[in-house]
Amino acid sequence: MSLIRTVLLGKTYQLGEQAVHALKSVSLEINSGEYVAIMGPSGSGKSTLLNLLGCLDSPSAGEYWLNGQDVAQLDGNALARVRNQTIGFVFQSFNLLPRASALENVMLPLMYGGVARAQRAPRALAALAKVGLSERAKHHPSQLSGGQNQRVAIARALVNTPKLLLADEPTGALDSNTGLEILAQLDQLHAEGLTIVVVTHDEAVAARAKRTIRFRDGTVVSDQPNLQAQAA
Amino acid sequence: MSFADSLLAALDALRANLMRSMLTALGVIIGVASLIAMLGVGNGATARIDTLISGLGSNILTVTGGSSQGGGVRGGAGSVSTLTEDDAKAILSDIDAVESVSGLVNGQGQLVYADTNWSTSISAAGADYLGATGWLLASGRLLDAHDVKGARKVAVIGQTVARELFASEDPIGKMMRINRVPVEVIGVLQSKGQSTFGRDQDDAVFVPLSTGKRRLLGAGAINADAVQAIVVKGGTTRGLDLIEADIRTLIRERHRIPPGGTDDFDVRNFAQFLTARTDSLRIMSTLLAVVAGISLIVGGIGIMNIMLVSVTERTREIGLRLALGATKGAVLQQFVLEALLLSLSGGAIGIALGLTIGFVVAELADLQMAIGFGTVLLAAGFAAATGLFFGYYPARRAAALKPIEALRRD
Repeated sequence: MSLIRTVLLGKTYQLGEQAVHALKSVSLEINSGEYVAIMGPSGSGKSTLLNLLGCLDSPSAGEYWLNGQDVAQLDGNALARVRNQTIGFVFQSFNLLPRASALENVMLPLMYGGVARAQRAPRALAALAKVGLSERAKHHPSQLSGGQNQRVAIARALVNTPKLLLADEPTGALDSNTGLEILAQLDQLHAEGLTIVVVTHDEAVAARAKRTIRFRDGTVVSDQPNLQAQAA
Repeated sequence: MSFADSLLAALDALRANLMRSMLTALGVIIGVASLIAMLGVGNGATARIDTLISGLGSNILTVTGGSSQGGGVRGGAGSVSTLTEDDAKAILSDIDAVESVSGLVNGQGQLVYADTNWSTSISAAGADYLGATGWLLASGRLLDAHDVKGARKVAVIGQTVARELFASEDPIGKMMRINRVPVEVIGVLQSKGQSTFGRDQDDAVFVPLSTGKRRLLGAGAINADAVQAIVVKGGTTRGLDLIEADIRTLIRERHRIPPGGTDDFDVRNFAQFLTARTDSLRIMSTLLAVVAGISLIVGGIGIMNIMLVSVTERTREIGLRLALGATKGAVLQQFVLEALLLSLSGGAIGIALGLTIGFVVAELADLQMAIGFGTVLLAAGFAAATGLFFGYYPARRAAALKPIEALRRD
């Protein structure tokens, strides 16, 4: 069953007088449990697609069906619910609240999801344990390394057991060794059956995925299974 | 996101910028504190004038002798004793709804008791005077008609005189000397405190009119019948202004003043005068409360300003919260609560500060601070309303942010 289906999806920005077509008529399908890398040079529209898939932005044309639901039909609160329950985000720059501890950061989606106060800490601790950071729950982002911060962010993305993990250059701000740790983490999540879409321009990152979709000038130029990774 | 969650998030954000939060709340603190202090002291002052008015006795008119006029030099009111005891009797018998009248002669006297002496004012008045002017008895008895008729050498004294002359002794039945004449103290009055004009009303001795004029003050030497003033107590059946007009007509007739001629007397209504003072005081405290209200609004604008800055600063944070599933309502709630917390904590500190200032000022001005629970609630309500009103717009700006635009912002 396809988790993601876009039909002629388009996004046009108005930059002053000029209309910029960031995404043009993109139709693609991603099935549950897939691990997909989206590649392309900057300005190719890959980040725009990720934002649309994450319901952070609304398309100017086309349809987007997520988990069998037409996203265009959803109102603001329903979209917030989708972002909270169905999608987990991992950003390049971690986007952790600096004032909050690792645990508190991971508890944020639970709070917005209306989880009872008493259940939040145990669930957040479990998510931190999954990324191997149980010991650092009380630490603040400034007391953690980049890799640790990104693992906190992954724990935060996972805490509501989403169907889809969206990662935007997850290793972009990390050194290569730490980046490998994060990629291993994603591999493991994929092995457990999570659908992962990762945006990157790093071939090494894309090589981990089972399918690579390449973008240029707002359109898909290639969409191929990654035979090497598939074999592995 | 529950209300408690929003509250905690708001508290956390305010704590993160503690200095800024305190400075922002300062505007509300000053506004609320001045509002409370103004209202408290203003009400206290008004309440005191009210008790002064009731202390004057209600429905009292004072007729005083006119000013002397000789060679173009005019003396003050009462400088010529144009009024007589017969005028007083005529007012009582000829004018409707006059309850009582008494002549009044004021003078100065040296009191001596044992080895103590004290100089004070002596009021010689009719038997009804003390009752009409609102004096209450602490011990002994008041002057009565027999005392006046018989020109008895008796006196009723105020608290200050009792304290200065008799110290801890009970003055009732004691003989003191007023201007060397032995007089028996028959009553001690309850305290009335200071008059509006700052005079100690308890520093006074009251004697029968006849006794005062003939034996103590020497006023009778010139004109045995003259009085300095006539104190008229009106009944409740007619307005004091009607009685006042009748008195003017009657005295003009009795004094044979031709139409168009100048009165040789004056009729005053002190209660009215004091009421006017109360009114002006009310206007004054209302004005001050308005000023305090304006400073509250200025404080509110300060909150709005800081909240706008805060929303701009935390745009990325808002974007992140939206990406993690915060609804517009949750963001709105968090920021409105932040503004509300600022204004309410400012309000609470302001109330405490205002009460303190009010009590200190009241203490210094010898007033009773009069602040009701309702006023405090009102001030708290004002502070909350300020926070809501001025916090709503920045909060809406925060809630209206598009998640992706907020996330991209640096």
